[in-house]
Amino acid sequence: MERFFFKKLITSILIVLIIFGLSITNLINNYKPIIDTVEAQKDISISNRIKNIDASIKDNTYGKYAFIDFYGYLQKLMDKNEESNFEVVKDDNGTLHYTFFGDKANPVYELVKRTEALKNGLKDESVKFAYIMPPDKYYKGYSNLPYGIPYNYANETADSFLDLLKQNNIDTIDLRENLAESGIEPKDLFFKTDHHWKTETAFWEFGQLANILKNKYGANIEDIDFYTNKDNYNFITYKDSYVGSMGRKTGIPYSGVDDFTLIYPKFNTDYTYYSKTGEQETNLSGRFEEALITISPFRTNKGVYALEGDKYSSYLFGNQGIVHVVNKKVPNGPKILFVKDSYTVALAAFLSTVCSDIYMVDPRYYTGSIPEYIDSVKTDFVFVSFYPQDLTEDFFRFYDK
Amino acid sequence: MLFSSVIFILYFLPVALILYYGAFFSKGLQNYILLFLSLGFYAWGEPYYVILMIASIFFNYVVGHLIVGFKNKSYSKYFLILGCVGNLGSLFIFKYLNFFIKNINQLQGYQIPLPKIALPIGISFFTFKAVSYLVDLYREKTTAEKNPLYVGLYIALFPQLLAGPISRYGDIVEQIKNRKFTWQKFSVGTCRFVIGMGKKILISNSMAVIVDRVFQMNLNSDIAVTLAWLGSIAYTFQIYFDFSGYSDMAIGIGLMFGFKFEENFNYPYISKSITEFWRRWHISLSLWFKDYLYFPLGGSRVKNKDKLIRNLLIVWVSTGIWHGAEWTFVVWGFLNFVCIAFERLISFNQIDIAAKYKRIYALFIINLGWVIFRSSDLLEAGRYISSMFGFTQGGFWSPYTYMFIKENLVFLIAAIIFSTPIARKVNKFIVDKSLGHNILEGLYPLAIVGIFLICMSYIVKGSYNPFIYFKF
Repeated sequence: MERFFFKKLITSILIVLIIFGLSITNLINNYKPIIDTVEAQKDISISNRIKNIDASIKDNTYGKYAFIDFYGYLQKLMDKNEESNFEVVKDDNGTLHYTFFGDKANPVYELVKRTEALKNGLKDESVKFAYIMPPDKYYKGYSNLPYGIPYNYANETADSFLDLLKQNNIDTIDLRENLAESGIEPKDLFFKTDHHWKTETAFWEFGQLANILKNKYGANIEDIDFYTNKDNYNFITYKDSYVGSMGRKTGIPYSGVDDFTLIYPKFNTDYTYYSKTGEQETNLSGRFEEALITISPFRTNKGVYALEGDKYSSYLFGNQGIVHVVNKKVPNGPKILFVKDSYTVALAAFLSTVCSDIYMVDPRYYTGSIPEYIDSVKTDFVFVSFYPQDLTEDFFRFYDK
Repeated sequence: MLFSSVIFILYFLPVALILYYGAFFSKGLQNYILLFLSLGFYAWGEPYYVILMIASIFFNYVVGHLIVGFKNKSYSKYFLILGCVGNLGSLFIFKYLNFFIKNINQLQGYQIPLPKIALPIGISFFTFKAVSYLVDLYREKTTAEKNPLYVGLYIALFPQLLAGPISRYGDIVEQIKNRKFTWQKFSVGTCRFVIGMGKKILISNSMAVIVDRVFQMNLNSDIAVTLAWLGSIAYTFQIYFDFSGYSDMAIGIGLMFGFKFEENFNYPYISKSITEFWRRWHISLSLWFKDYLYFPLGGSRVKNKDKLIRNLLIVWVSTGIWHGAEWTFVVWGFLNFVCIAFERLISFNQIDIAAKYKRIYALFIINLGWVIFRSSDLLEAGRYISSMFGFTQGGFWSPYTYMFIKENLVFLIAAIIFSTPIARKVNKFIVDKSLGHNILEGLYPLAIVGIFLICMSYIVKGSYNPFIYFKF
């Protein structure tokens, strides 16, 4: 019997040592953000204060990503294709997807109604209005979910949405079409660890869009072949350097790591950049890589999990409430406004090379009236662009009453 | 505050151990520290209702003294009634008032507005403890202490505050005064805590993913027979590993602080009848109803079977309602009553049927009962049970059935194995120094530390972590 308790004694000593070790390490390394949270909670209810402190403690657990890596390794070991209640699922190619349990396309009538109202509400009738549909990561003919893993019908929802827009005489540009002709391998169209398209894909789509603007809408785009020629851009690939939002949830052993290619013009550029999110305003000017790209994600030594290392958000400083980019080299180019999600960030950055002005408004971060903002700026085009999984009322925050 | 949270494991528990064992020279000081920690533990989840908890402690302290002080006069009974009405009245207001008004409105066509009352965490547990304290004083099974600390610690003791076990005052007060630290208790407690974590975080939470998805699908459309059965079986595992895991953690933490709480579960799914199931499931609740309701009604020593049936009906419907304010709990309680009354009337345990068939019968009823228990209303339960027996348009097979099994195979197998006393047998095997015991002994610390680190990875990652018994 003594031996029976001896093994438990040894075990309990080990457990207590681990608990105290982790606890002390946490206190030493992460007390500051927790204290900051405590101090920032002055004017809210006790319940919310406790919730926020609790969340801060959890977020700032020392070695958080080592635990998440271990968690991801265990999921891989168990050959799991879903993790943490379908937070993320893995397809047969090892690529991660967001999903939900669906059996048909989502209803889109309300979204179409709001889009139509946005178009009809434009004060300047000369402004051209269209919906741009970026591709979904579930790429038909390539992506395949294992038997039984739920599919979100995002592409079908997008199809149904575009059909209904067309029936209501709203122009649509479907960037999913012709994607196979991009020459990019299907496995390289999207990040494995993130829901976004890769910069190479966004760059190719920029070429498609520029041609549509010129040929279909008669936009004043000069030297289009020059600006859309990839030979006139630097492509710098950072190997194994990017872990997207999905990878951060599951850990690298489960998701893998992506390469990230930074693309910027070789030719002379001159820009001003303005953004405002809440009360925070940013003004920059200079070359494309100075005014439109954050360099810090490429220089940080905080590791691939650090938010500071989010390379996708380096273009146009990620998602901001409103953005205005002025290309001083193309003063007579088209002026375009995007009501957009994060897919548009890289696309708009490349498109700015042929435009005089790019405006962007993100419904998630802009608290004012989107129609009023659109009317307050002078544009030639207004594009609404949310990728298929963002076809929800949360993004269509205009004419919603 | 949940036991299975970063703040508890990395902050609260180490601080509690340091403060508690730092005051090793004074039992009294250790008790005050425990009370302070317990109220802080509760306040972290319920910053406003901690006042209700403190009020409950003082109310029961005062009423307890009145019961004892007027023992020689007939007032004592009235003070007991006052105490029970006070405790059960507050339970009614916080837990059942909305349900009551909702039904009155539906029955009478009234439109009485529903008050916005949030359910205080663990109210059913600490209310039942308080009632047992007062009744035990009235029955002179225990004595009222002058120091309110004892009642306070009994009602609020943090390891068993949120989900029991529902201890008796007599058992706890003796330990408050005289418990002793031993390395044996501490080490067994630590291991028990980790095992509880594993049951809750790894097995129960994995089952919860299946359960929540399947029950949600049942709300939206007809589901396949196989999927319905998988969902119900997964819930049978989820609720057991959730609640027994939490009880293991409570018992383990109790031991780490020198307390020995009674066992709350004893492999309920190996039962050969529903009667036996209730001797193995949530034992402290079953004993509470037996001592404070069933026996006062006359129990089974009544003159005729009508009264026995009446007593069983009252006890089991009450047990059902204790779990929640919804008709599903009433029907679930009634189902248990029907089975137990039936088993009693036909002397089921004496019938000569192979044990495996009895187990199949018991598991079938238990499983069916959990479907009713899990459903948000009777309509949902009816729809789900119809799907289980193929009375809906959901068909027989669903790809989701395969997917859920494939994705959770490891935990499903673990759930089946650990629902049986296999771990206990392995322990016995080691103790008896059977063949290979040295290897198993050597592996034990590795296995427990491994489980702890795996659980920590799930906790820190923020994986799916519902807690069923939180609201009861």
